[in-house]
Amino acid sequence: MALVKHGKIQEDAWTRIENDSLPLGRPLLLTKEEWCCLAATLRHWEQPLGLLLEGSDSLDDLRPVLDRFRLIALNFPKFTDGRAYSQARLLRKRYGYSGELRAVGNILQDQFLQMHRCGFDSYEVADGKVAEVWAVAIHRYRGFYQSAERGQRREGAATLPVEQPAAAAWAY
Amino acid sequence: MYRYDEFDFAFVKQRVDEFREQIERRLAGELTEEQFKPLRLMNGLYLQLHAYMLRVAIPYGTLSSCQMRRLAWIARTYDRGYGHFTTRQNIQYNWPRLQDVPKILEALAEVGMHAIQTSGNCIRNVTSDPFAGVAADEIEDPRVYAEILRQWSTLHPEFSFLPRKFKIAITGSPHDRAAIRVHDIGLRMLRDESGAPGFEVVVGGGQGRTPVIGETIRKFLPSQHLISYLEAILRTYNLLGRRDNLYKSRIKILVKQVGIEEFRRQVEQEWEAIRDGWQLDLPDAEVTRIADYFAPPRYEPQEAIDLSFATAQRQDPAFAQWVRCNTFAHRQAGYAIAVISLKPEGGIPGDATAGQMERVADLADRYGFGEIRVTHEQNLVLPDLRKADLPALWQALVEADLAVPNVGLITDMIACPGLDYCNLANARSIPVAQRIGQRFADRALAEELGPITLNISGCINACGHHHVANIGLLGVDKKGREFYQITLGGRADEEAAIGDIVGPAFSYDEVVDAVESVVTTYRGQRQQGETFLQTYRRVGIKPFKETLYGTG
Repeated sequence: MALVKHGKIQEDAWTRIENDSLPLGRPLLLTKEEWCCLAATLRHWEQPLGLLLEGSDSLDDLRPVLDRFRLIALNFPKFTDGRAYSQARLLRKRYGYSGELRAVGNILQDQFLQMHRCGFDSYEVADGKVAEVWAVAIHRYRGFYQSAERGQRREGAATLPVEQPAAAAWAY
Repeated sequence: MYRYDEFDFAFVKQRVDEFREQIERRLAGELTEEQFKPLRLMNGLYLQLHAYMLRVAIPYGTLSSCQMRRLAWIARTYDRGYGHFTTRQNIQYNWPRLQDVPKILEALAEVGMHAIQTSGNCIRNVTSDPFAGVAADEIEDPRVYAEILRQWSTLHPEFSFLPRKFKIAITGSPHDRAAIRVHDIGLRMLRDESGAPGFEVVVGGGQGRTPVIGETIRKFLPSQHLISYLEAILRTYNLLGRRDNLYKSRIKILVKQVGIEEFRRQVEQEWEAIRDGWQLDLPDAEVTRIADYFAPPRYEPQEAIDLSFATAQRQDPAFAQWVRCNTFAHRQAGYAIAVISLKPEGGIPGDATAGQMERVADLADRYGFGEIRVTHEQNLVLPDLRKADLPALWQALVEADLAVPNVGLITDMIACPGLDYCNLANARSIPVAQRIGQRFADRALAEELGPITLNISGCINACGHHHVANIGLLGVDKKGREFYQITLGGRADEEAAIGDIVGPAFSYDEVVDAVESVVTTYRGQRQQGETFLQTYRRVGIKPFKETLYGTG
């Protein structure tokens, strides 16, 4: 596994609960269930906290505590399971989450762009080799047809008037 | 019609480049077929029984003569000289080679076309009324919003991996020629009491294994909120739709499972939350910009009634029959809409040769402002014709074998590709359509029977729309033999209904006789001036059962 962030492979500092023990001194990534059990215990916890969410996890009840988390990792059980795209947009836009948003699980390099546009910052991938294609993917299109978290939406005013099709006028 | 600007041309070019690289990675073994599959599907590329199939988008069924010539050129250069127009107003090529696909997509991009989202679990090509903008009964021109939806849905970052495919249809006429009630979302344009434009929003319709007539989720949605409301529906579906079972993943299953009331509550709640803050409202300037593309062409004012059109009908009964069956009322005086039937008796429904495509393009240029439409019944339309030009146009169509006068009649069948092409099919569709076409080849008889829709699907996925046909045929497999189940009374229009199963299925050899028996029963029961549906509604299924199975 490798962590890709801004097109570079980075060290993953986050750790998980193992064998019923809380690791000290490192950022801690919790599932929603773990968070629900440990919220009281972790009230004065000083290391950074992160949440690992599944597609079936509701977000509404997390709203009041979202600012406790520096990382939210959204899991893709299969690369064809698109729930996390909606979760990412809700977290960013409706709930105002501004920490790191990470895609984990089964993801393809071909999905970097749409993940980026939905607000993801980092990607846990099987092979770190794909880090180099990240920048190409992100910059492939000059603009887009719809607004999202990132990516320039085409401006109606910037397009050409109907009378003067600049490209391929012969086509019509 | 809509015309690509620099942005659009650049966008489809960038998409071609992206897919070319994906194909190269597939050919180099860097992508597995499992990984490649959703990527190629989102670019319109299927793997069928014998070869790849490329489905090219014809947005809301509208294309220019130049684009039609390009489709013909592709058919000749990369396929076997023909193309197949589909029930979603697209065109399919059945024999492209994988390595040629980027070249085909480049050729399409040059004329402002693409194959984006013609397959896959994403928002598919938006379909609409083939008579949009010209129909005499139209309230609003749906093409403006169809184009807005095409743009909004293209590579939508959030809705590209939905639980299942997602089809949107839009109509602006009271008579629904776009079958909006059997789509995942159906939009019907209307105006409220104050005259403000908006939509009735229908959700959860569909055919396939579980046919469902869609339910109205909102009676009136002001038009500026179209995108925010659709995003609310899509997001709700994306998060809650089933992903564990391919056959239970469509939005219709979700709506049935939670109930329309609860689904509406969730969508409206989502909509409330995003309506004002997410900047999704359509700016007037953008709507106007797109609407400008759909301004009517320069019609000639009608100064006098041209009698030559009436005279020609009197003098030539074949022409008169074609006018009766294949032309429709235009909103502009002196003009008509003509449907070019792609259902010659004994032919393959929806197929057109490259030569026929070019002929249609030429006729569109000569008589019809260069515009062509594709219908969901797999025919073509010339939407803007002077009535005075119809005799000459018809003559040219006759020469190209394109003048079959059967639109809306029993031989105007919809058929899926069936077992001849499709790896999902249980039975052949095309040869059955061909045999039925031959059985009812008597054109006078076909017209005398009145409007009858007869649709054929080769399996329960229902691509041939058999559920919503007056007479529907569904191919099933019985111990390795092809059988056909008959349904009666379905319809796809504003009174959409699912057909009733009449009884046990008929074998491949028996099925044409069974159809004839249904028709004979109808003729026996029919009262003066009734259509098949009217007779069926009056007498019910019983007399049809009796003649088919001899039971009481």
